[in-house]
Amino acid sequence: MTSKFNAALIAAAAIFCLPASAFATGNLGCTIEDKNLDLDFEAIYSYSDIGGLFQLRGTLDAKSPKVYKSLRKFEIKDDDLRQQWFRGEDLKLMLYRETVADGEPHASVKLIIEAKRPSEDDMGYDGTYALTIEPAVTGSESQSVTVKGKVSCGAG
Amino acid sequence: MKRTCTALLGGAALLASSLPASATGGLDCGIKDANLNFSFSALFNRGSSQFLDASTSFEALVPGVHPRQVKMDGETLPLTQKWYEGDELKLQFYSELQNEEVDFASVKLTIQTKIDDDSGDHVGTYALVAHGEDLVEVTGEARCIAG
Repeated sequence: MTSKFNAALIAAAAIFCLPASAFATGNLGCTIEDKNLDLDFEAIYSYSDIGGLFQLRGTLDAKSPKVYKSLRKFEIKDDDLRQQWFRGEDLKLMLYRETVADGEPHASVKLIIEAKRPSEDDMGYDGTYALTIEPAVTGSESQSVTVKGKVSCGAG
Repeated sequence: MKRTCTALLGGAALLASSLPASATGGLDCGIKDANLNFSFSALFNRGSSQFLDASTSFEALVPGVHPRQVKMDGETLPLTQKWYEGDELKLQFYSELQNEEVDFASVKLTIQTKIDDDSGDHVGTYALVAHGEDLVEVTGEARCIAG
């Protein structure tokens, strides 16, 4: 009970500390479930002009055996969103994670989502994804593999 | 000799970076017309999609922008969204003022370009929307060069 109350208090304080323009916020979620990838992605965005997604959460689970072990399944954080374009009918997101631990070889995963909504009234976005896997081998840039599929996102 | 030193320093800077030098290139965007004098330059790493050493210079020539937002740099006019993939390059910069002295003022600069087959440059348009002394809405041409 106390920890729940503390969490609510912290969340309320965090919202209070946001700029005035960020008060009106919405949620964005994207899902992928196929043979290549399980993605459960959520973020908050501001309805104001400030733009951009924040408080990212979810998991990315890449199923290819070429994905380096520490990158196979991870919790998504704000730093993973390297590019975004969320304006008008367009939703474009790039999530990127690479190995960083001492002793780990260089390897990475990059997920690009490109989706559109059919009209201004519709907040459902449909599109495609491309997951590029850079395996942990010498000259891995030339041995990277890209798999593609479909993605659905919703904003509200 | 000077050219050699410049090349050596440039090479050292790239080596000092933890990112693979082969995947890093330069980007320069410019707008110069009756409304705006703007430039943005950065190094861009293709692998991690990060801008490095970014530098922004903004000067509104069109009237109506709040006096405190007429001239801004990368700190006061941050890049809030970017998309640099395939033949597309899109940048959005946004600045907002709201304090005891200013009720509300904002500047949003959106640049949307695509690679031009003839020149190889990214060519497109910009839209500047500012809420200052007046509502400002102007558009024009933008060009970015990647190398």
